[in-house]
Amino acid sequence: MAGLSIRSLSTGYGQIQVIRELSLECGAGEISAVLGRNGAGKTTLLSAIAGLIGSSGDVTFDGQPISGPAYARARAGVALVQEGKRVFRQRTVEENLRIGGYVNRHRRGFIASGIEAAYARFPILEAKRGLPAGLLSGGQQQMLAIAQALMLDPRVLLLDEPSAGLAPAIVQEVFGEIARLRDEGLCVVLVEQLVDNSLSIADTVAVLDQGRVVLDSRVAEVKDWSIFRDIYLGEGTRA
Amino acid sequence: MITTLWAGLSIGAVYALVAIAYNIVFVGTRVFNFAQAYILMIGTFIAVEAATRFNLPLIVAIVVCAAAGALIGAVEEIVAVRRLARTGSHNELVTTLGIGVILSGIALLVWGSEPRSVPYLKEFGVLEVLGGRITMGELLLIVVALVAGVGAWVLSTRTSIGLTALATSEDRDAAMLRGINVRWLATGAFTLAGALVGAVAPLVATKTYATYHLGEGLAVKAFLVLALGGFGSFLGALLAGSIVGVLEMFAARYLGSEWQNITVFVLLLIVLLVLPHGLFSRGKAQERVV
Amino acid sequence: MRIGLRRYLTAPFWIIPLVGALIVLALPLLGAAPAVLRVIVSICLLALLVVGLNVTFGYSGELALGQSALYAVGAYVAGYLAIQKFDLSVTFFVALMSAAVVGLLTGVPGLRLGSWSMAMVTFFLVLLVPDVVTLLTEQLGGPSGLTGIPLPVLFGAKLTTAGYYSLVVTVTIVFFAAVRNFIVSPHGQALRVMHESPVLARSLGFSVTRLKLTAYLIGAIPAGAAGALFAYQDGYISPTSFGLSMAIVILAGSIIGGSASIYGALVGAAIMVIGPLRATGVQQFSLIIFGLLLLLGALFFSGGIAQLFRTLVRRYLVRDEVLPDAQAAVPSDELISRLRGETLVVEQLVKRFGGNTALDDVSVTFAAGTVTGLIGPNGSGKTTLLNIVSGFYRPTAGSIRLEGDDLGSLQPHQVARRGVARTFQTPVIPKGLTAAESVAIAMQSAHGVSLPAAVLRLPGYRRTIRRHRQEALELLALLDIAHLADVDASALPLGTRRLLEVARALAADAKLILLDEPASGLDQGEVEELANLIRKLRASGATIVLVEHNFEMVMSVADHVYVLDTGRIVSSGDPDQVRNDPRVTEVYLGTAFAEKEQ
Repeated sequence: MAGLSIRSLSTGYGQIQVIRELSLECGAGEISAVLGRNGAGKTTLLSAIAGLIGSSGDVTFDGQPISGPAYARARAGVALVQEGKRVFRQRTVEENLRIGGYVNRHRRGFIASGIEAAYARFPILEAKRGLPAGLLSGGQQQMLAIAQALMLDPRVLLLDEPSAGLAPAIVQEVFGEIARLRDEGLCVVLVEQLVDNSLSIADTVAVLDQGRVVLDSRVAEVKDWSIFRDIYLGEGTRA
Repeated sequence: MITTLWAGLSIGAVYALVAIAYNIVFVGTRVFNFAQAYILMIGTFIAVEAATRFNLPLIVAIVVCAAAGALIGAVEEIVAVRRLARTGSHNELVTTLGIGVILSGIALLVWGSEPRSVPYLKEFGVLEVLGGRITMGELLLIVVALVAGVGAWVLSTRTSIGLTALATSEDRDAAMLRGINVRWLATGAFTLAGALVGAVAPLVATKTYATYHLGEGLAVKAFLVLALGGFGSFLGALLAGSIVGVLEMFAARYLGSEWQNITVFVLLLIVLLVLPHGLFSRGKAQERVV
Repeated sequence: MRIGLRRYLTAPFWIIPLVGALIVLALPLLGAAPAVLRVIVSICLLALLVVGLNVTFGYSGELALGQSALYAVGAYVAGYLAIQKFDLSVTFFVALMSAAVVGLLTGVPGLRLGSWSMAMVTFFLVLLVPDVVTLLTEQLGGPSGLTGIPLPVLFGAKLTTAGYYSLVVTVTIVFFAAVRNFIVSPHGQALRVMHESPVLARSLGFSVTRLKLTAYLIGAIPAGAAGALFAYQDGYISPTSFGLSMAIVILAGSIIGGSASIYGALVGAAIMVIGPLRATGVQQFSLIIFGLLLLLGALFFSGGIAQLFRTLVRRYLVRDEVLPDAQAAVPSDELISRLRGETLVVEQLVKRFGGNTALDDVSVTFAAGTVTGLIGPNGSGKTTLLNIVSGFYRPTAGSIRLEGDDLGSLQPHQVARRGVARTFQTPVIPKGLTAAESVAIAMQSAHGVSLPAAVLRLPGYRRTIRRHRQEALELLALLDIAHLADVDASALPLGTRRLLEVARALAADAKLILLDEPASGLDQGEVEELANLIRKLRASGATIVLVEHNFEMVMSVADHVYVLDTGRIVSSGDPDQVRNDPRVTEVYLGTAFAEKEQ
């Protein structure tokens, strides 16, 4: 089974059961969009896959189990870019990239070439390499967050609402990069609130509602788009 | 007067060293280790033993004390702090205080209540520098504090381990997501801080003598230095240590020894009210309280 | 053999400690040896110190650890005045006042700063005692101690050893009774609320500053009293009795006995006094043992012996049942009529955090007696708006008016008192309160019991408490959870705690109720119940603002809906209008999607 495979994942916080028996697949070289309203459990899903919170069920990549706390999963190649453009604000751009490459620090020349590649991908970061990340604009921080995650040399990239709070033009840029990453063979799980952005680059789409998958399909095979409206804005919403 | 200045700088160096150790732990774990000064205290006694019972040269004594400090630090983290990693912070004050008290008790039990001196550096006598009198031990303390402060600063900003420590103290979850084993980092921070205070213990003993209640006074004054310099700032600890030490010694010399602590106390109150984040703080005040 | 909950809660169990106390008081008459009396005096003095610490540290969560310094203040002031031949009544009173003043002054740093700073300042105070004493050697005897303190003279009469003993025990009994009355009353409950969440305390109308100062005061007074009495014990006081070791003994006694406990202070003090005495030859180990007590106590036995006792008693001796007044509670017409709400108007509100504009020219009206929904994606500013209306953030520009009263410049607790109540995304229910109590506490700031009435148990006290309980029960009945009135509230399931928060908001006589994502985490059935409740409240005239992600729920209850996106209102109208507004589709699903749909 190539790619990321999630079976019967259940998780929550304390008493609150957020995800119930969820199953999802994302192949290598594919973008799986995971959509849904707030509170549907999208962020919780990614946190569980990345190991920030505990969960029951199986997560595997290419058949190998992915388990343990977050740092073990990061070493296994699972990179999560959290929502909110989270970077280490008091560290410089370049330090952020170094920190991202920490697990690979023993690979000869990896960090240096990784940083070069990051600057090639997002040239604006090179111009700001010595600035504290907190001084960058929202869009630049988002790019830095993604570049930092890529320093892990991941096999799976989990993106939590990368477009949130970004101007449409920047969103286009970022999404263009995400598509390019997919073309390079990465398995990308893309969580978004807004439907349209993600559908333009996604290969498969799943919609979560109250912790369960209510729609799971290849994008090309979606016939009737009104189903999204119904899920998001409630059924019987048509005039 | 220069003598008073040297006295102030040298005691300030001791405070700064403890504050640097506090900072190392704080940067790695966001915990304030009350027992840090007590580990130093134990170190001074071990230095006494090294000198008087085993006749070890200073260098060896430093290594032995550093190792002892490192061990105590590691054990403390595992026993007193690890369990409380995600719960309320008040418990850490009580548990690290408990460890400190236990260390005092051990010192009292094993070595009694009489202050002990170490014979190191006596051969240098009292030196005359820039018109003021200072012992070799005091001079070395000032130098070591500078080296330690600058060294810690360089370590934290230039090496990858230091970088990860700073990142972890800023955002623990994000650090974990980048593959950083935050648990080992915590133990490492405690161990390193313990090794630091252990290593300087023989030098400190030449100035303060080894006594079982050395920990108390140092603990609180070093906290003042930490607060003044800013939590997490190594260079701030150096500057603040000098200020506190010099102020204290001048107050003792010109106002009387009883005014020593009172002056420092007033300084503490002023610092807390006027500069709640210290001179070089890493944390910025946030408006989001809800 | 179990007793019913009703008996457990209403029976005057305080009789037991009182009887015990009276027996202790009578010991000299029963021929107890002087050595025993002396031990009891030591226990009483330490117990006074520990109980003060319990109020500030255990209940309020403030690290005010300077008890032994306040002890010193009380002792030296009393000793000095006694040498000047003042009567004990005078020395005692002045000593108390001095300790209270010092306690308040050194508490000031704790008001603005974090707990660590508070701990350090108060610890430092302890270190200062020898220096201050040395500075005032002439008056206070210096490092060798203050000698020549005469035997106590109370109202002109010289006290014998037995008389002194009776005085100490009586003072201890009186203080314990007073502190117990305080802690059990809504004033003590307010401290627990503050400990749990200062934000919650403010949203219930309490000034956190006042609460903290009250805690420091109540913590300092027994310490001063203990000091004043201690001065007379041997006619001599030495500064070494007040050092860090004493501070540690007090802290250890608090942790062993149970920091959030009154009687635990006695137990802890007894252990700390008798323990070292029994185990002779253990002196040298005493520091190690104290340290171990602190370490293990904080690691494993949070709550100390008192908590252990409470848990055991509750589990094995008490039979849970619903009390009759809880069963009979029915919402009265008077209660319903008090639910009538007011209109809030927000005009051109702007909020900036540094360079980030969270709200841009937002104008909304929450009309009286209606339910208004506030929806929008993440980061749209809904929560910011909620926090501004409830007073936790200051607006950068614009106005907020509740029936004409400007709220923009008020502190959160003042906004709460004016009539804005709110719930939280994660319900904040303080530990140690029952469901009824956690609802009733909302009534305290506006029309609660006064401090003297609580401590002295004046006649008005019982009446007010009973009335508040009745109202709380009626509110619980309105929400169909009256049967849980006397259950530990923090242990209830999420959905119930949500309802409890709503009941609490209603109890505060709110003119406007802000519900912050009340449906999150609830299952379908619970969401429907919540929706019904909201409709019921609207029928009674309440003004409700609902911030929610659950679209269907909002649409089914709201009269009016505002849609926010990146800090602006993008749509406004009744649910149907909003549902079919293409701009709303755009906001939730994206522009390209809206086009794709065509």
